[in-house]
Amino acid sequence: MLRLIWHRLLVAVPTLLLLIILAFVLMRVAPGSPFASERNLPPAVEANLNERYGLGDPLGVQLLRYLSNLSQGDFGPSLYYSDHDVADLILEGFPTSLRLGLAAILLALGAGVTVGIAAARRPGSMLDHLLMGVAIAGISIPNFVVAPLLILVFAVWLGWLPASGAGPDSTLGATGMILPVIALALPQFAYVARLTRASMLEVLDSSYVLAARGKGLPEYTILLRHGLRPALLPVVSYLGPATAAVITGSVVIEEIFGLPGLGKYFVQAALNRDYFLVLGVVVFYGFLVVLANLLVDLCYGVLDPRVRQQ
Amino acid sequence: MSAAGNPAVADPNPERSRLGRFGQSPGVRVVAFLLLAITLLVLFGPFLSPYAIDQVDWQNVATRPSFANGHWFGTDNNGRDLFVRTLRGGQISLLVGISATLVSVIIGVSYGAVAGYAGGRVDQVMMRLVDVLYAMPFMFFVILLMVLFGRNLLLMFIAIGAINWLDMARIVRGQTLSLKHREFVDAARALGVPPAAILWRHIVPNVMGVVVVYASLAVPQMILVESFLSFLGLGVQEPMTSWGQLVSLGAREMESAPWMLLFPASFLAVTLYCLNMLGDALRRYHDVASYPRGVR
Repeated sequence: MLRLIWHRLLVAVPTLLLLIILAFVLMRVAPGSPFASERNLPPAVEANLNERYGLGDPLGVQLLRYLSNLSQGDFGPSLYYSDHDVADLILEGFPTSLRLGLAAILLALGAGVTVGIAAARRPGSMLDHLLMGVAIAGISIPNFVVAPLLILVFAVWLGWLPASGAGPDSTLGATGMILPVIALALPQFAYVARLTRASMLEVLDSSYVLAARGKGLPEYTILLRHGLRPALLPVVSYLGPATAAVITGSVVIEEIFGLPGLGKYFVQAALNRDYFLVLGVVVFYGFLVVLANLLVDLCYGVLDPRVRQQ
Repeated sequence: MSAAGNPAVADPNPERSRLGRFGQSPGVRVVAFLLLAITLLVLFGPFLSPYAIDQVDWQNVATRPSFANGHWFGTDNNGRDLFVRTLRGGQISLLVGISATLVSVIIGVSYGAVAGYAGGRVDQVMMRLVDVLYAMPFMFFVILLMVLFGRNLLLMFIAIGAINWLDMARIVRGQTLSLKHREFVDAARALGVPPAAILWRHIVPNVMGVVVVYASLAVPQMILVESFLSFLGLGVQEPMTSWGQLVSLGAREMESAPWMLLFPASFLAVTLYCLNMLGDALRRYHDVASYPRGVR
């Protein structure tokens, strides 16, 4: 098990480094400057600003400085929201994004696995066709289409739920989170349901399930104890990509529902050429994705003894 | 255990036998017909309307759909005809979907075939790189690219296409590994055919079946990515439009003019649904594993 963790860390660290370097270089080779929005900035002032933030040094030096600051937890200052550190901005927006994303992943997992099992029990039945039709719809229809439609139906026409996540006093009510969470969870729910169904079908076809049936075990024991555990493996390994998808999805969902999360900084900061904020968000998200992949691999080891012994 | 008692045990692959021959299933036919209809409508529909994509009809600003004034899908809040805009937007969405898929097929097939055929250390290094890239949240980079370098259609094709080649590379590599020791490859090698020619003439044609299946599933993904970018305002530029952009504009006006949201949204949703259904049916027909990223 320890070797497994060590091995995964060996992949995770270069991934993260590559991520930072790519984002850093991309930002810098792009035209534009963080101070271009301030009109008619005298060249001397701009030079001073560049000097102040160390933007005049060679790119390699800047990259090394950024990496060394980062290793001490310093994300640098925001160039646009002056007086704010990038770390502060991230910590301010992250709790909302975390709640949204976590709720969406849990919902997708719970509902997806249940639906997948239900469909796999009777493959080819009406229920199976229906559920898998819904699942393909969930994969096909992007959440930025689902989200406005949900608002249109449940907030505008029916008036059951608030259209915006943030309440009047900009606190987040639980009811305000319902629509965003559903919109964000839907595609992941669909993937999980399809994966569960496919792997469950495969497992139910194996000889030990036949043996369990031969013993006369009740159906739910066969499904849940003998079937589900091995059938969950592909679902668990999908959680890594799912995390990444939920994070990117939240960029849009937060914008549509007006949630004060981390997503709004991403696009806006890149437009503002707020170098350190963009880098900070990319690094932070990248770290989360790498962490999720690591956790997934560990879960894998717990679920499947064969992985541990490798 | 009788076959009637548990179909899952009796028939290891019920979908395939149920599906029978591809194209004979009524579902597949309906979906294929719908796709054809949408494609034709998108290509030729704009000629049916008297309006142009950027033509402003000052008498009809944000009016609901009507046959009387020729605005079959209504107009947007700038008085532009939504029928023409939806279909022209569809041209862009389909174009991006297909070209980006082509990009990913070209990169993925060459990378995977070379890695698989070379084998040994080269293969290991190339596939380790794919592993590392796999863990990267690529959408961030696509968003960054589009924000930083402006909305360039060509760049968008390449950026979107570059996300999806990893799957393709893995699949092709796996296929190549099992192909390269077959007799016809050995024969070619014995005859002194250079590696590049073996790859191109013997390996690549043989992996194309699987590649086509995955490419067909990639097209809707690409359309989705493009519309996602357009939704964020990073896609195509006015006066051109795409489904994602129209949905984004419609979402802002949905309380006063719901048709601005509903028409492009349904075109996008139905197209993606049909493409996914068709790709899925193709996949089952060729009996390709449903998820390549399963166990690593």
